[in-house]
Amino acid sequence: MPLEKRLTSELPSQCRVLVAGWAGPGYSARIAADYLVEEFRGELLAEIYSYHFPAHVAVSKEGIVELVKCSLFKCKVEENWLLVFSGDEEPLTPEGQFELAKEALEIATKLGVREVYIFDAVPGTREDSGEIKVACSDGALLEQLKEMGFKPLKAHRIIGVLGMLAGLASERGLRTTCLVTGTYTYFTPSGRMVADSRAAKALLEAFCKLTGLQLDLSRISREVKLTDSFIAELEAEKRRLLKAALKREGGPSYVR
Amino acid sequence: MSGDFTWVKIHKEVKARKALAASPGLRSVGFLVVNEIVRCLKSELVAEIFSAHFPVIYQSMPSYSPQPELPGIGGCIIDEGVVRLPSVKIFWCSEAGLLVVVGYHANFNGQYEVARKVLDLLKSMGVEELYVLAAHAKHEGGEICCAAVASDLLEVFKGKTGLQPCSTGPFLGFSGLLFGLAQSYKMKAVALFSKTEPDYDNPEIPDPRAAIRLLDFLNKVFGLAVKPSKELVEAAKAIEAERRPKGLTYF
Repeated sequence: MPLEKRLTSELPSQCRVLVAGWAGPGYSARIAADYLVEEFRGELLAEIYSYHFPAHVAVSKEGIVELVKCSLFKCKVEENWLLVFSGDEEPLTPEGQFELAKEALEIATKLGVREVYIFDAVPGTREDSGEIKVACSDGALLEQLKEMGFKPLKAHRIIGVLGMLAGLASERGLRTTCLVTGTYTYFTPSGRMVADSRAAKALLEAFCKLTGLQLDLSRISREVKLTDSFIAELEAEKRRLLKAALKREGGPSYVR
Repeated sequence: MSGDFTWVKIHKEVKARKALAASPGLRSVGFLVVNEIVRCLKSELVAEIFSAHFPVIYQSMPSYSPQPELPGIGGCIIDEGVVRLPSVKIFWCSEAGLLVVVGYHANFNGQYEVARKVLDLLKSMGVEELYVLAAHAKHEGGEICCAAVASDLLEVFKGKTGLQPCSTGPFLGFSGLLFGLAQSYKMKAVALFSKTEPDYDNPEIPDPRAAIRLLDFLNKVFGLAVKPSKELVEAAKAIEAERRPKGLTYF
C-alpha cells in the first residue's frame, strides 16, 4: 500500500474550486495557499501519506514526531466550499507524485470540483518577483485569460505533484489554470532563506481577479513591506561591513 | 508496479496493417523522421498512451538508458500556454495508410509496461508490420542498415531493399523494447538504422542529415512523398558547412 489517506473531518458539499500550492522557489506558492486557509479559517479535511516521500520524519520544538505528509483543507467561502491542497515535500518518484495528485483530484472531483488552480513559482531576479504568467487546460480558456490581461507561459514544465495535478485535471476535462509567478529568493548572510511574500501576494491577487473572490490582502501587504525593509536593512548592513573591511585593510593591495 | 499507472486514450477508431515507430534515441534520428512524416502527411492524432512513469525531467543521461535509482521527476508540459501530460502519440496518415507512433521514454519502472501497452493497442488496431526507425554509429555499417525479429523476415526484407544488417549490440529505450517485444505479438517487425556520429556530451542532439537519408529511403520503399521541412534541410546544410574547414581551398 504505497499511499494512505486519513479523513479528519466531514466531507463538504458544493465544492467547485480546488487550489494547490506547494513549497517551492521562494516559498511563495505555499504562502499563498496557506493564506487562503488562514483567511477563510480552513479546516483540515484529509492528510495523505505516501511511501514515495523522503524517508525521514519531522520533530517539532515540543519533541513531537510527524511523518512527511500533504494536507487538504476545506474553506467556507459564502455558500460554497473551497478546497486547498498543500504540502512541504515532494514524493521522490514520478509514480509517487502521480498517485498523490490522482488521490487529491479524486477526492476533489467526488466533492464536485470543476475548476482547478495551481500556484507555482519560477526563480528569477528581484524585478521578476510577482510577475504572473498563466497556462491552462485549453486554447479557449487561454484566450479568455489573455483578454483579462494575463500573459501566457510559452514553453515550461511544472514539475512534481502540482505538474501532475495540472496535467491530470486538464486530461479529465476540468477547467485548469496554472498561475506561475516569478520569484526572488533572498538568503541572509547566515544562509537562511527569506520567503518571497511579494510573489505570494501577486498569486493571490491574480486568483481573486480570476474567481471574483473577495479577500482581505492587508495582512500579506504588511508582510511584503516588512520583508522589503528587512532585506533593505540587511543590504545596508552588508555594504557598511564591506566598506569598513576595505577601510581597515587599506583597499586591495593590488590596486596602486 | 500495478497496471493503472499507464492508460490509453483513443480519439478515433482506425485500422491499419503497417506502423512506423520512433522515439528520441541516438541523435534523435528516428524521432525527427516520424515528426517529419506526421507534419508533411497531415496526420491525425488517433490515440495517446499516458503513464505515471513518464518523467518531464530525466535524471538518467541519455533519457533512453533508464536507471532504477534515477526515476526522474514527474509533471506536465506547457506548450504555448496550454497544459498537457507527456504521452506516446499515435497518428493516422490516411494518405499513406500508415500509423505513426511518436514515442516517449518511460523511466526504469515503466519501460516494459509502456511498450506492452503500445503493442496491445497497435495489435487491436490491426497492425501486422512494424517498422522501428533509429540510428547506428558503426563505422563499418552502411548508410542505412536493418534488423528483424526473425531470420526469414530479414532475408525477405534484404532481398526487397538491398539493405544489410550491421547494428549489433543493444538497442535501448522505448524503440528497442517495442521492436523486441513485437515478436511476442506475432508482428513482422523490422528496425531501420541510419548511420550517424555519436555525440558523447549530448547523445540525443538531432542529426538532420541522417534523418533526411532515412526519410529518402522510406519515401522510396513505402512510396511516400514526404518532403523534408525547410528547417531540417537548413540544419543539415549548417552541419555540413561547419564540417568543412574554412580557408582551405584544396579541401
